[in-house]
Amino acid sequence: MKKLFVFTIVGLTALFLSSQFFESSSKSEDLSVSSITSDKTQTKTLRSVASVELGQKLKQLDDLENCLDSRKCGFSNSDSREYDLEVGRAIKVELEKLYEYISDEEIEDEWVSELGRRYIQFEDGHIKEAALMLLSTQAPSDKNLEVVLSEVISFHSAPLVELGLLELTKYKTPVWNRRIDESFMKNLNSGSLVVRQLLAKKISQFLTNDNRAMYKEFAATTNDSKVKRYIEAALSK
Amino acid sequence: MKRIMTLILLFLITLAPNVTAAPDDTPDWWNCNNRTSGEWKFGRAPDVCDMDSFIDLNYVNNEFSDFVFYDSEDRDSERERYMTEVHALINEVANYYYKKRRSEVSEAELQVFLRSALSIGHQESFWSHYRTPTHGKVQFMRSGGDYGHGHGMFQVDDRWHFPAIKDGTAANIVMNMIYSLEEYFDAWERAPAAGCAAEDDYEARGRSAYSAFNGGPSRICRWTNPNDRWARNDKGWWSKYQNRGWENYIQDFDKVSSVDVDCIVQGNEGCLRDSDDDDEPQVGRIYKSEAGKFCSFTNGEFECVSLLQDASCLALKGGDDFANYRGRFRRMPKDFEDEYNFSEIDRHEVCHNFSNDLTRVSKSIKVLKNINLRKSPAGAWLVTIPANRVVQVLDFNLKSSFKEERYYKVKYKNHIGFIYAGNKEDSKSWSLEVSEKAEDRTIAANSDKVRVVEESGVSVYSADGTLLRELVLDEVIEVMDSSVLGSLNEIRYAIGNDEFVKAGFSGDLYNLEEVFSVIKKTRTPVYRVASLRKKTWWKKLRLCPSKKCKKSGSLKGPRLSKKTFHVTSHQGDWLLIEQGSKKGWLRSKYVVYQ
Repeated sequence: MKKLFVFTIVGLTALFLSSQFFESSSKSEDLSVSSITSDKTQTKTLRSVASVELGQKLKQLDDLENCLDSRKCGFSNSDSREYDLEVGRAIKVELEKLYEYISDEEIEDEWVSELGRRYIQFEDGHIKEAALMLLSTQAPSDKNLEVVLSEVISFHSAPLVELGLLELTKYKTPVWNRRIDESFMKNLNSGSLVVRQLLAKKISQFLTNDNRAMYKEFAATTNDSKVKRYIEAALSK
Repeated sequence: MKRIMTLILLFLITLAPNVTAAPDDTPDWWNCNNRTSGEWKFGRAPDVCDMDSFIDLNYVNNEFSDFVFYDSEDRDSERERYMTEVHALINEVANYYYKKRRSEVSEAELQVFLRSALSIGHQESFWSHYRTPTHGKVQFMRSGGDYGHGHGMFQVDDRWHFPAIKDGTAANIVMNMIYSLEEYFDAWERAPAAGCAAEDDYEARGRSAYSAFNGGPSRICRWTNPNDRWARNDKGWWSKYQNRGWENYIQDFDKVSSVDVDCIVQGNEGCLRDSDDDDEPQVGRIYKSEAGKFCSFTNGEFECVSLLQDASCLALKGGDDFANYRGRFRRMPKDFEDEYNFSEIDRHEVCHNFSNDLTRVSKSIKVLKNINLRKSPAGAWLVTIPANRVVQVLDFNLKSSFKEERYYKVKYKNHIGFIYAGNKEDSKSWSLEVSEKAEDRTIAANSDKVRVVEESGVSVYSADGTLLRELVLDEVIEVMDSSVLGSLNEIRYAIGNDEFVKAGFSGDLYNLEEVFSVIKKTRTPVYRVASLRKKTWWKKLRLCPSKKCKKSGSLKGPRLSKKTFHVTSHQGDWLLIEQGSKKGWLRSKYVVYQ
């Protein structure tokens, strides 16, 4: 009886503590913008206090990644897709929690971009989207642009590309425009069939005096009739 | 003691974390009404369910009748007929897809890809998609092996790909395969880098791509492990690839499919074609050019429209010449394009001049009965518009020159889609043109005021194209008249004496609400003007006030846009946001009031 009592208390305590971990992210969301002051000391203190929580979240992500590799975690495996689906969802949930935390704290730091760049390379479109949201909180950079172009714009999911195009509006400078045009032309020519139609539909926000001639020439020669009409309509504005 | 223990146990269990999957899990057999069983043989894999909410059944019965398995027919002969047709279709879809992605492709590579696609269909669904059981209603295959999560020929899974299920992509047999091949091709390309296939070992690439397709992207090398829990799926696919069991049923390996795959991929409906080629242009036929235009041969030259939906208007214009025309087009031989003159016909001119009572774009109609609004004329159901509602015509689609069946694109509340409005005989029982202004109008009526919502402003031109001045964001002008032209329905407003503005498009590039907002004299809800927090680049809106709700558009922050939005309601710490046509919920912490 005593052993049973001790065992139960230990087990329940472990259960209680793990519930606190899952709730900790929601507690962090309770931090409002107004609580973050311009006092660097206070901000630094806040981040160092938060780093323990962040460390736990990052560990959770690592564990879930290992679940994908090992396939030995307790996720359902009742059909051929379910295990990956469940792990993918769990990773997405953790990334979304991080996104909320980073948004709340208005954190702009290279580690966030590194994390986003890491997970955006997963082939799961739902994980890519959550990773893209992490990148969306950060200032534009060469490295972030490259992964958005290679892992999102060149992917085959129209909903994801739509968000990617929104992210690309941060990159409207002459140097970055050229990279974007290169990616767009590659995808318009040989990319996903549904994505190329979406790119053509949304192209007007990326047209500049420098690239109009290029897209005009492309529209004149493509045999994708919908892509052609959309680009010609954008050029007519 | 035992009671205390039990109470503690119960108390602490309530604090346990919720580790169940996300609540947008599609339940088993979601939206699968009137489930009908089958058998694991070609064309009749179990089960089939109703698909009315995904796709219009009349469209399926007309467009895809060759690819419906009819249970009422003799089973063996029906199977042979069905397999011959579906074999042609899968081959054509896969061939089309691969050549669109690869400008140069070796025959060996292509043949492996084609055979892989045929094998996917065999493994996933025994080539089953549409079937009409003995009860007489055409239904759609939903896999018993995956508890109804797999949809159609290539088993698009509603847990991974819910948007494609909801919008009817998976229900369309051609788009089901195109959508799936996008994923398959992605894995085909990744296989060499993943280490389980050499670049030029196409069969290994095919096997890898199938493992990823079936098990998820990370499972790309699953086929290399014969002891994997799901190895049987890879073995099954490989066995089917090697044995090509479908060949036992094909009556004609060279059959050309009756549907034009490119036509469907370009978003058209009514893509049936005649497989024969003409040596000389024939009067009374519609030809599809290399550039995707649809043309009739009249007085020694070709007259063309950009959209297939307007080919009916060309047929109406041709009068008795088109007495035998029933909606199919032919491929235009290349030498026709070199030898004859071509002219482009304005769709608005030809369709209105030669049809009966077709309502023009921008006019108001009152719907006279409850009418379903669909994403496209034959697409997924959106909402039902109640009788007596007045809506504005944004586009029209005239199907069947013979019956002049018309569909109107309209906006009803937050939905934009197509309604059926009858044929030339009974259109007046479906809707009537009225002078009343539609509450949901997005093309300004005469004397309406509009506000500029295009951030970069709008240019004002004279009739000869001279740039006169610029309107700025939030500027309000009065519209004197509107006009529409071109295949995308470009809308132009006259705003003064020889002063015009381009107001956007109301066709399939619909963007009217991104240029001007029509100011309506309806009761204006109380709102506050706000923007996102300064450091926020952009945020997604949600359909409902919860992080678990689906996306509903997005907003740009002050670093990307000067545009503000309206906060019209709140629920808890969520705010209902409206910006032009965008409407959705956002956490209040991200919002700063002006």
